[in-house]
Amino acid sequence: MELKDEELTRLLKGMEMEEPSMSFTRNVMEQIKLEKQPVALKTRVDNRIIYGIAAIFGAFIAGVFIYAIANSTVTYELPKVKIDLTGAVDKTLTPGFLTAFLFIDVVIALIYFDSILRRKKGKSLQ
Amino acid sequence: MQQQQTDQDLIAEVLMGNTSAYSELVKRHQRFVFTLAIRFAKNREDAEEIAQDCFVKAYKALGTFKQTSKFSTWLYTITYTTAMSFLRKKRIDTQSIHGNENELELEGHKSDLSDNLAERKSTNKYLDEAISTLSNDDIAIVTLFYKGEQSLEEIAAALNMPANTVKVRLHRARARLKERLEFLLKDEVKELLWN
Repeated sequence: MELKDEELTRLLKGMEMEEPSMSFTRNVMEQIKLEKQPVALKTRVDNRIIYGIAAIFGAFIAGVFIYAIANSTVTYELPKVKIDLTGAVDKTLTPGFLTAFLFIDVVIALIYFDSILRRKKGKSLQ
Repeated sequence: MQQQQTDQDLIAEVLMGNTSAYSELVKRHQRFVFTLAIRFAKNREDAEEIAQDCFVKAYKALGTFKQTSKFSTWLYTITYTTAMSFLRKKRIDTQSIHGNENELELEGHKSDLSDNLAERKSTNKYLDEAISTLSNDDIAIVTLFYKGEQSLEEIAAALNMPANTVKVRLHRARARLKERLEFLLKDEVKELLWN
């Protein structure tokens, strides 16, 4: 007894689906009544998150600025006022620090860019 | 004539607060989800529990459904993972009483087979029997491909495996099914000759 490939495909395509009990849909709907109403992800990821990222970004820049000012060596001479920030900048803005700073900026920018693209895609789907 | 709403329309309605729209989604997909569940669980009671659990889980996670794939593909992923968790849990629960139950089950099965010889002669019965010898992953692949109208890529996404693996496994599963069916149908011919 040899079964041809086409016969097997026909059998598989024609196999019967099982039928659940008559009360299946009702049972599911009763269980669902006990659950919380689902909320769309789009509503959950709202503008507050974007503003949050922007706030963190702003705070980080402000923090670096304050840090640079706080660590600066300021010399004051009477009657001649002389402020020397060169050393502070050299000490604070080391190549490693700058790389880390730029890396974090790039990551934040990418997250922001991704959210913009998602919003655009969501709008085009609607 | 009223146009039938798509799955996406119904999902949007549910997310806007119309919970009853979900019953339409359940009605649409319950047969396939139940078929898949029964193939894994091998009995109706467990399959019904798995299928119900699957629809409840889908409802709870409906807000996270990104709609980049078909709703059915997403639902079948949930069905597969729910069934696997259920079977794993059941295996642990029944491990201690496994031996005795197996004997009883085999006896019952034997008598059932001889009693319902006429019923067994339908090709679908043989097909079900042949499919039940496959692994759970292969059962899912064969069922999703031939009855779930899912592409190899969609099955790959649902089962979390590469599309090429799905293709190879489908080919091997077909070969095993063919071999098994040839064997079963040969027996049927013998039975018909003896009776």
